[in-house]
Amino acid sequence: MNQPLVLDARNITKIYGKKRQEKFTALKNINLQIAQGESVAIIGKSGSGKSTLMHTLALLDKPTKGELYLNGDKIGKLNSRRLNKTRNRELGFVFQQFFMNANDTVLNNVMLPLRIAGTSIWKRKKLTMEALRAVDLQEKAKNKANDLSGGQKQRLCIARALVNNPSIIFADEPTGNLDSQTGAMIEKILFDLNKEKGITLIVVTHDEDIAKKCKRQISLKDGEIISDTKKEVKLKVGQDGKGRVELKTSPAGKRSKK
Amino acid sequence: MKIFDTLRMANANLFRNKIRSILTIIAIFVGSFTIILNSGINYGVNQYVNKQLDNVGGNGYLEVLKTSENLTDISIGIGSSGPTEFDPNATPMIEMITESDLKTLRNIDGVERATGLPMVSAKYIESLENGKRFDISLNTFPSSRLHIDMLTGRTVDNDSDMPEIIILPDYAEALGFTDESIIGQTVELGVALHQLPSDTGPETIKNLEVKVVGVQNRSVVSMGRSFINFAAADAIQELALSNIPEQFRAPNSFMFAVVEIPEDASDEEVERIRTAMRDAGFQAMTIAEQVGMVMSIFDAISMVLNIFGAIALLAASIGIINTLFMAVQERTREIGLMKAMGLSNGKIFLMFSAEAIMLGFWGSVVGIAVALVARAVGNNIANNTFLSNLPGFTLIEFNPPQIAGIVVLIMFIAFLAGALPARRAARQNPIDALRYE
Repeated sequence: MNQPLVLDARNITKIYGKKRQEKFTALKNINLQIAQGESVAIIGKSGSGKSTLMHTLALLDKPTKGELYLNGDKIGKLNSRRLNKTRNRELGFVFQQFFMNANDTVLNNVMLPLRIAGTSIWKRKKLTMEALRAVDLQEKAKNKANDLSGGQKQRLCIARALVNNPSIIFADEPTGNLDSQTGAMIEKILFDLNKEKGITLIVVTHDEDIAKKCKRQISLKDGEIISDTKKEVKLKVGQDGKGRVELKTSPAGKRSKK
Repeated sequence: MKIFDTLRMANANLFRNKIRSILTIIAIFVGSFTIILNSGINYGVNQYVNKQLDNVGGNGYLEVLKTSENLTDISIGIGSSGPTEFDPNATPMIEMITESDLKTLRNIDGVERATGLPMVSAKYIESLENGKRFDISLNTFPSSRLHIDMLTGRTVDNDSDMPEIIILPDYAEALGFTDESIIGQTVELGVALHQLPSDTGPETIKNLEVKVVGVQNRSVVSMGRSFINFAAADAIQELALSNIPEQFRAPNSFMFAVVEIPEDASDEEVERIRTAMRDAGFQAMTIAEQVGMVMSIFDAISMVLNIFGAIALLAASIGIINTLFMAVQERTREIGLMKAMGLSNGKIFLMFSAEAIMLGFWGSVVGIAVALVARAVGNNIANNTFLSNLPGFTLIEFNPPQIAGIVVLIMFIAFLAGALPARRAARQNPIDALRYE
């Protein structure tokens, strides 16, 4: 099975601080290829660089060194306008905190990325309702976001991440604020989206349960990848010049030691 | 994000913290209301004065007084140090203008015409219709260049040989006519004859026929006086002196002279003529200047009120800055999220600026609304009290373009005030903003 790469990070290094003595290397020579439709868990302790990696992959942070390709496009070349547009169209975000406008309606909260994109009102409503249906929140569209339960709030956030039909959803500790039962429900929604819609899912977590459910686990320590369950994947360059991987799916549910 | 969405979101965000926003709007309202109302009064007064001065041409003619040098001392009065000691050799402060003075005036370059303005009075005006008599205050019509705000008919003609009068409203009805039907009617003026010191009998009053040619509105120019033309003034003087033998009559002299100058004379030209007159011992003033003296006091009051308004707006601007800084802080994570979702720095700046502009907008709208109420109430009170004698005088009048200008100005000030917080919002780093607790 040949799948095009959505993310291709080559020799990514991220150094914080400008002065010599203040320099801190958060990421060291990261090489990471993620194919379309994968579900990837980035795991590591706090300070391991997993958040920095996610921010870099999500185009929120610029690497100090190295190259990043999103759907075959070199990101470093993009100006901030194109970068904003790319983030808006290709990426969805789910955070541990919900980051929503508590006083606004569920509908308006979910609609935000479409508003930012400048989608027409008619299309906006249609897409928003579709996204709400996907997380089974269509009944609550007119409710105030604040009146929702914790699980519903996170479903709202998933709908919001989904609404612009992104190729990748980044989930940063998506169940961190929820009890295990609602957490399991949220996980199910995320993985269903991954399977049914083929949206690439990148989960940053230190929760082993959710990490296990991902088909691929990448462990980080001190800014370096210490294990990757799909290391045997070979990088090939296709005839179109874009990187492709041959998926030799490793058994899911097994987390590499160390 | 589309502009409309940006504005709508800004407006919605504004009312997320209702009390804070409303308080800021009230602060802006205080300033906007003061300025709007003040400009309304200014406009109302100017509208009226301009209507009164309409066609006078401002520079068309000058009223001239002959003065002695110490007039200025006396007229300053308040500043002088105590009473001036009597000096038997001192000339009277205001001198009468004689025929030779008129000749001097006529010789000044630029003067088209110089005429003495006869001071006349009548004991009463009498109707030939119902025989009733009423008190009347008369004034000689100084110049055909003075435009009177007429109700019906025309102004008196100074070139006519026929005695003519224009009267104030109320007189028409009192004399047994309507404002329309009195035009062209003849009325009589009661002229008291001058007496020789040897005459001891009662005052003799003789009637003089004059034709009513118009009815004027009450106005600041007329000051409650009825105007007659030169022919009527001359006839009254002639009649008043009819008992006095020729040898006892004083030579013709006047308190005021009217000097007509080219109507299109520039301000510099007027100033030159005035200087020439001053050198010859005369003081001259155009009608526009006479009104201007009153207006300058009014303008000064208006200026002070505007300064109050400006200070209120300045304080309100600080309120806007404060409000927005708090809003930026409260919404730091939201800003981060929106940036992560691809909202550009420019749009974030626009969104917060729009919020500031909205504050200014609502502040002005409330200001206009309250000013409209104040206009209705204020005009009502004014018309029933101190303006009751001046029909056509609306104290507070709004000039829509001017009001729109004030609103735009206040919105611009609000934008400036909001620029600093909006810039801070725009410069947030999305990662830091998302991490912000």
